[in-house]
Amino acid sequence: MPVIQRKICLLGEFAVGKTSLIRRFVHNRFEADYLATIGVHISRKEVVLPEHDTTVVLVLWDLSGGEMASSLEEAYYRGGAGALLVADVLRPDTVAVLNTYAMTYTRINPGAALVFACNKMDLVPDETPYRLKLAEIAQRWRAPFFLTSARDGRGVEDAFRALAYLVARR
Amino acid sequence: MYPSFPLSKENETGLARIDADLRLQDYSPFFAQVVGVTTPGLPLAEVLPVFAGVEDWLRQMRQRGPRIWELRFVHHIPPDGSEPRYLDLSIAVDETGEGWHLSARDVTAAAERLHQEVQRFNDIRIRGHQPPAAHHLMRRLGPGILVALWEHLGLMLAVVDANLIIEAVTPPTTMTLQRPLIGLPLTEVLPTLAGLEGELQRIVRGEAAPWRLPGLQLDPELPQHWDILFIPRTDAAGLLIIVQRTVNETLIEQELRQQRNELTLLHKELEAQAMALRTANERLVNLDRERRALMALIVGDIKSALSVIGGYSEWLTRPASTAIAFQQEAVVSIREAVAQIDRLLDRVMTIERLENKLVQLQRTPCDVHLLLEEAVVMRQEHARMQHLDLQIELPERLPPVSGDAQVLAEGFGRLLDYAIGRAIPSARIEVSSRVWKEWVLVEVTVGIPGRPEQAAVKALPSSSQHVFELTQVRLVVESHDGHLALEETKNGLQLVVWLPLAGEAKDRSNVTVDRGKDDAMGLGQYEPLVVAGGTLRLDRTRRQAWLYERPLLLTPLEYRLLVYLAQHRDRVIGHKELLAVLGHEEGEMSLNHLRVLIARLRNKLGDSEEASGILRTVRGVGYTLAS
Ligand SMILES: Nc1nc2c(ncn2[C@@H]2O[C@H](COP(=O)(O)OP(=O)(O)O)[C@@H](O)[C@H]2O)c(=O)[nH]1
Ligand SMILES: [Mg+2]
Repeated sequence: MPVIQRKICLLGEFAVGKTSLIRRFVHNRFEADYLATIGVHISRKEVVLPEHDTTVVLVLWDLSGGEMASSLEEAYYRGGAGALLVADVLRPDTVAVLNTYAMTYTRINPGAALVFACNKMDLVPDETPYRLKLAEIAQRWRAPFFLTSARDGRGVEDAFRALAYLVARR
Repeated sequence: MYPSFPLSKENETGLARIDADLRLQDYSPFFAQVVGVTTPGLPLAEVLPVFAGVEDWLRQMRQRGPRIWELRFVHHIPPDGSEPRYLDLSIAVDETGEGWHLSARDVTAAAERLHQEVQRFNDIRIRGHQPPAAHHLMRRLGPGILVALWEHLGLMLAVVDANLIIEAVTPPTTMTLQRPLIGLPLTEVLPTLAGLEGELQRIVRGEAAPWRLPGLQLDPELPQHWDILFIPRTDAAGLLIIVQRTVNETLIEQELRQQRNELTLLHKELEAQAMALRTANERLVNLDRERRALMALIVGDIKSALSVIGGYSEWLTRPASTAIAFQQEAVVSIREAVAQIDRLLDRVMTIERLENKLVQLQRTPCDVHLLLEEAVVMRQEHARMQHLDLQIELPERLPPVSGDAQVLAEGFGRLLDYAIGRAIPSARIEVSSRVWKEWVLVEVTVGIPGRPEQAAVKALPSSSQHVFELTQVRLVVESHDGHLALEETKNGLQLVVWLPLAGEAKDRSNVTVDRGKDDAMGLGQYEPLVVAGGTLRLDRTRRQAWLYERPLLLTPLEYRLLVYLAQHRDRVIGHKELLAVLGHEEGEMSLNHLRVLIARLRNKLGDSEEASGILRTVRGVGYTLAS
C-alpha cells in the first residue's frame, strides 16, 4: 500500500480548540486547561484509506491562530495540501473569520482541500442553529463541515478522515 | 562536517546543506547541537518533521520561488532525545548546487517570553476583556469580600456551567440553604426554574439577554423573597447567578411588571383577535359570493336533474327502447332525479324559510353550552357510523348569548353537518367553546389526532350541498350579530362562530347561568375543592376564588389559570397546554410570562414551595394542583 505524506494546517482564532482537536485525533486525549500555542507544533498521524488503497500520513501543523502577526502566519501556510478550519460554537465571531483564513490559505495553496469544523459542540444542547451557520460558509467553499468536540470526541475522526480523503486524491 | 561555516555562539545558528534528495548532506557542529541530530544522510523530513509532506513544494522553489522560506518558532522535538525547543528555520535554494541551505536557530527563550505574553493576553481576551483591576481587587480583598457582601447586602453569587450544574456558590458556608449545593443541577436547588432550562441555556449561548427574576421564595421555611439575576459567564460557558434579598421596591416593581405583562398579553391577544376578525371578514366576503352562487348552483343542479328526466323520457317515447331492463333503469333514474329536484327545492325553501324566520327573530338569553351539547349528542351516532370521532369539550360555563334558541340550534346543527360531511373517516371533530371579551367563540376543528401530516378533510364536492349548509350557518350567525370564520388549516379545517354575549352578560359579568353543569365537573358554584389540606372554592360565574375562606384577588389571567388547573387537577398540565389555555403560543416571552404568572398565583395562594404547596411544579413537565 503506497504511503503519502500531506501537510495539513489547522486554522482558526485563538482558543477555538485547534490544539485540542489534534490532541484528540492523535493521542485521543483532552485537556481542559488552555495553553496558548506559539509558532507551529507538528504532529503526524497515519490514516489508512482502504478504498483508495493508500495510507496518508497527515502532517498536522498546529498554528497559533490570531495569536501572532498575519504576515508570519502566511509563511506557515506554504506547501499545504489541506486545512481544517476551526470555529468555536460559542463565539460567533470565530465562525465569520474562517472565510478570511480560507481565502488566505487558498491564495497561497491554490486547490488546497478545506474542511470546516465547528468545535466545542459539547457545550450546546442543540446543534441545529450552528449547523446552519457553518453550512453557509462551508457551502461557499464547497467544503465538507463537521460539528466536533475535542472534549467528547464527536466528529473529530470524521473531520480528519474527510481531509485525508480529499488530500489523498490530489 | 561543514567546517566552512562560521560558528557563532551569540546567534547559536546552525547551518546544514541539504542534497537534491532532501537528505542531510552535511552540517555545522552547531546545527547538530541546535537540532539534536547525529548522523548525516538522514532524510530532512525525519530530522525536522516540519518539512514532511512539502517535498514537492520545496523542489518547486527552484523554479517558482520563493528562493528562501523562513519559519519562525517551530516547536522541535530533537531526535537525539534532548529537551524540546523552539527553532527559527530558514531554508534557501542553493544557487550553486542542486540542493538547499538550511539554517536553524534556537529561539526557545524568546518563544517562552512570547508565550507568556500571548497566554496572558489571550486569557484576558477569553475572560471577556475583564479589566485586570478586578482580579487585583478580588485577590487583595480575598474571599472575605463575598461573605461581607452577603452579610451587608444579602448578596449571594453562584456559578453554573453550560449544563446548569452548580460549580461554585458564595458564601462558602451555605448559610441559607443548609446543604451543599456544588455539583447539583440548578433546577434541583431552585425547582421554580424547572422547565426554564432552555431559556437559561439561551442566555449561556448569548442568544437571550440576561434575565432578572424578582421576588422568588427560595426556602419554604423562610418568608424571605429573592431577586435572581442570570448573566452569562465571561470565563467559560455558563451563568453567573446573583441572588439578592428582595427589597420592597422590587415587590412594587414586580407588581407593576406583572400588570405590564398582563397588558402586553391582552394587547397581543387583542391584536391576534383583530387579525382573526379581519380574516373572518375576508371569508365572509367570499361567503357572500357563495350565497349568490348557491342559488345559481341549485338552479344548475335542478337543470341537470331535469335534463336526466328529459333524456330518459325522450328515449322512452322511442319505439326502439322497449327493452324491459332499459325501461326499469329509466324509471329509477327519473325517480331519483325527481327526488333530487325535490331536495333542491327544499333547500331553496329552507333558505327562504330561514330568512323569513330570521327577520322576526325572537331574542331571549340562550345557553350556547346546552345547544351545542344537544347538537353534538344528536349527531354522535351518525358520526360514529362514518368512523368519525365527534367530541365536545366545553371547559367553561358560558354566559348566555341573546337569540332564538331554535334557530341557533339549527345553525349549530348545520355547522356540525358541514364538518361531518367534509371529514374523512378516522378524523376527529372537536367542538369547543369559550368566552373571549364580549364574544362567545364556538370552534369546530377537524383533524386526525396523532397524524398531523395527514389530510383530514375531503376536497369540496361540486354540488351545492356544502355551500347550502354554510350559507345556513352564516345566515343564522349573522342574524345574531355574529361572524362565521372558515379556516382551512394545512390538513384540516376550523370553523369559528363568534356570537356576542347577551347585553346583560356584557354589563354584569356575574350573571348566573345554570349551575348544575358546573357540578358535573366537580366545580359547583360554592362547591369546595380540597387542595393540599386546605379548601379552595371557585365561584365561576363571579370569577371569584376563596382559599381557607379568604377571598383571593386574582387577575382574569390568574383566575383562568387556576380554574383550568382545578378542572384538571387529576393530572399534570404541560407548559404548552397552559399557554394554549391562556390563549398564547409557546415562545420565549410567553414562557416567561407563564412563569411570572405561576409565581404570582403561588404568592396569592400563599404557596411557596412546590413539594408541599398547592400549586406544584412537576419538573420538566408542568404544573398541577395538589389535592
Ligand atoms: N468544552 C470544550 N472545550 C474545548 C473543546 N476544545 C477545546 N476546548 C477548550 O478550549 C480552550 C482552547 O483550546 P485550544 O485547543 O488550546 O485552542 P487553540 O487555541 O485553538 O489551539 C482550552 O481550554 C480547551 O480545553 C471542546 O470541544 N469542548
Ligand atoms: Mg493552540
